[in-house]
Amino acid sequence: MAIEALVRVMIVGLQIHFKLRADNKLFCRCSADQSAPADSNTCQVCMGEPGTLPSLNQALLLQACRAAALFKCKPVSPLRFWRKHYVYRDLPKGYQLTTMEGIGVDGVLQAYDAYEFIKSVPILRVILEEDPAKTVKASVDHNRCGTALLEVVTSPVLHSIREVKSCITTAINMLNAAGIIDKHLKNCFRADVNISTPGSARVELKNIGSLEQIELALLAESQRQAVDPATCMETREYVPLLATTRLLRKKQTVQEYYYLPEPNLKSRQVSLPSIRSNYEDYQQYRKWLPATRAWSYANDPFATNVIAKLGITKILLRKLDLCKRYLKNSPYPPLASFSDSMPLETFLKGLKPGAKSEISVSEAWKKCMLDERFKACWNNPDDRSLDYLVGMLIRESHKPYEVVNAFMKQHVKTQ
Amino acid sequence: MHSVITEHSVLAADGSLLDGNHCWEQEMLLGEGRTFALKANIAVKGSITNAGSSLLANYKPSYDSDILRRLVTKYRYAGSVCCDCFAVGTGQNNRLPPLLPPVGGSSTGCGWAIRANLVDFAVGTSTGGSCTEPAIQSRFYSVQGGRGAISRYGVISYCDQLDRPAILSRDPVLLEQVFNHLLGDDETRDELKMQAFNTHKSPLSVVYIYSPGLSVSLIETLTLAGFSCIQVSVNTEALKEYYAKVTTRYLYSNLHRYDGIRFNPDPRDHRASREERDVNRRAGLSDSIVSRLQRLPAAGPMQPAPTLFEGGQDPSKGYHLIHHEILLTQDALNARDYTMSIPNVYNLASLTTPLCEEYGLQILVPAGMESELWRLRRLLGL
Repeated sequence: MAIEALVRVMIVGLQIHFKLRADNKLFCRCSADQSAPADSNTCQVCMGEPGTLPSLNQALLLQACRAAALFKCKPVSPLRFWRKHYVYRDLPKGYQLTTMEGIGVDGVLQAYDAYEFIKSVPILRVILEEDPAKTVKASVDHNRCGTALLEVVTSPVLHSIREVKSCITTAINMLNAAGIIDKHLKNCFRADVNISTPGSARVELKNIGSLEQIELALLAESQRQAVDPATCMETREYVPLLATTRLLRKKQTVQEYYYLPEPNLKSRQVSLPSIRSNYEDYQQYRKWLPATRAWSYANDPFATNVIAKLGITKILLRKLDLCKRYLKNSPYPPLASFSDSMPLETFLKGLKPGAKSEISVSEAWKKCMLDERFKACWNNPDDRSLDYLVGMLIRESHKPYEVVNAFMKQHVKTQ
Repeated sequence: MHSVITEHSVLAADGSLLDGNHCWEQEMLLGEGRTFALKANIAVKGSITNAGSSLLANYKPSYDSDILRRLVTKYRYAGSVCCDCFAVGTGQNNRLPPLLPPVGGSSTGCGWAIRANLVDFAVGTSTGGSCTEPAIQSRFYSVQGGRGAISRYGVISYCDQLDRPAILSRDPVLLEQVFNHLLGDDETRDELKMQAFNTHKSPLSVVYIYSPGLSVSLIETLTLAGFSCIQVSVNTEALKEYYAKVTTRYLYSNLHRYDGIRFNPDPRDHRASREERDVNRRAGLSDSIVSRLQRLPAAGPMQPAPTLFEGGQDPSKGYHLIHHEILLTQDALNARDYTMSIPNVYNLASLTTPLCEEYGLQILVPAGMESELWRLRRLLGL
């Protein structure tokens, strides 16, 4: 009970690193494909050869700005890149180029767990930086070196594992819906989790790449801190096999990265794009919004939240093919009945089949019998065609499966 | 060529005589036309580019610098010439005996290659006057553009914030041609270069740093020639401090690239400093570089490098206050065409460049050469 009580009062802040959806790296024209053989997508710039200069990929900068706009951040202008120095084998140049001050600051993320609103999480800053190389046992693969990384830093306002998971899941879904990341990509994110419990100093758990591991790591660390609280700031890593965390280093003070402004990249005046006015954004959104499920979003607060955040107004929805396809030959109210002053949620509810738009199964059967294929299957039913018949009747009548199945049993002459 | 070399001897540090061959790092012949040499910190693909240090003794770049790519289309590349270790400017070279003044500067080899008539022109780099000094001492010309005028891709820099390529030659006409050739708007990999450079803006203006020994007649001559001369008051000590801080910080930063060299400037850890110092010495850093890094103040977390523009601004008064002690008029800030560095303060020449953004062109006129002003006007395209 004491451990559960401590788990409930943990204070957690997140630094989530996302791989940006990109064809090229951030400061050179190498391919960002990391599935290629080791060290095959490299050049003198990303390998850090003496004399080379970085050249910023403007498309990736725009992607990062869109991400900052998605989290309602305030822009940081002028935008400058800094050198963050540390010596490790995965960093050929000896320093990492990062927008230390961030692209956007003081944003907010509304975290949802499925359909339930969990918490409003303040976003401290959104940072664009380059990824170091990938260490694979004793060797280093530089294909990843120089690829773009988006870092989202939250305030330490999360107090439970559920809040942490919902925060990360919401961020992933939002960025994926906007086309900024690909959540189906392996290792699309990794998180540095900062956790402290009463009586213990802050501990940073580095490079955790899945939600399950985050949950296990938080449980293990909170239990460990209950027994052996940290006296100073520590950096640890989670070891899955041992189900515990392992000390990497202790920090007496904030590590000196010896930040220097990068003089080979111009400082830029940036303004965060207005996602509402960008037609391409919801064109991207269409790819991840199944047309047949448009009606289900009416009762899905998370989905409506995403839609609202991406600025999909009802006027734009009206133009989308999915609405036309859905409303074609349907018994739903015509579009003219919806006014511009109607709230978005009401408009979406109007798409959902209500009691008025449902028809009886027998009426649906009469409509379907006009179709040649349906008629043929009805007259000569077998196991495969029965599923087709049931599906067609459900689609036309919008009745539950049990009702349609009962109708089928009553009327279909099976062999 | 060898017979010419023996007539120009070099005095080594120990008093022994060396021939001019010691200024060569590597000889090659590419292209056609007038010959040129590159300083040893400018990348040549497949050729050892060591920047005067044992750290990069076996380093062969996998790419050509933008300077070489552009020049070989019109001129003949003769080879690379030595420079002191990472162009720091102290005269030490781990690989070759140090070449003493009167050539001087980190572009020692460039100076000697011109002086010994080995090549028609040479391209070096300048942080704080490394091309100015050999030109002045040996009485020939040097031209360096503002930052971003000539692409720095392929230049192993000492200080990224101040370094830029410079050209040395006896012939100012050739100097002008080469300089304009390098200013061309072709594809470049230096982000700062990607802006168009217009060498013939009007009205032409010159920013000069006043010093007590300044030749008043030179200013009058320039004024009569149609230049708008703008005086800039500079606090010498403040600028020297700025120069030392900025160059040392970026040297430390760049050394991380070269075989993982690291230098812990934390003065609290004395044992680590001694160990690191020994490691660096074994790795081939010159004593001068090590001594500079030892003086590097311990940087706190996220402490930025100093800039000239720290003092705040008061545009309502028409001045820009820099570093609390330097005043610039708005005219001076707008003087983006040319900056002229008077030889008396040549060691501060490079510091005028950030004052005039990246469009400034510095023309370094050797002392006593005011009578050659007609060549200067030709150089400026008048």
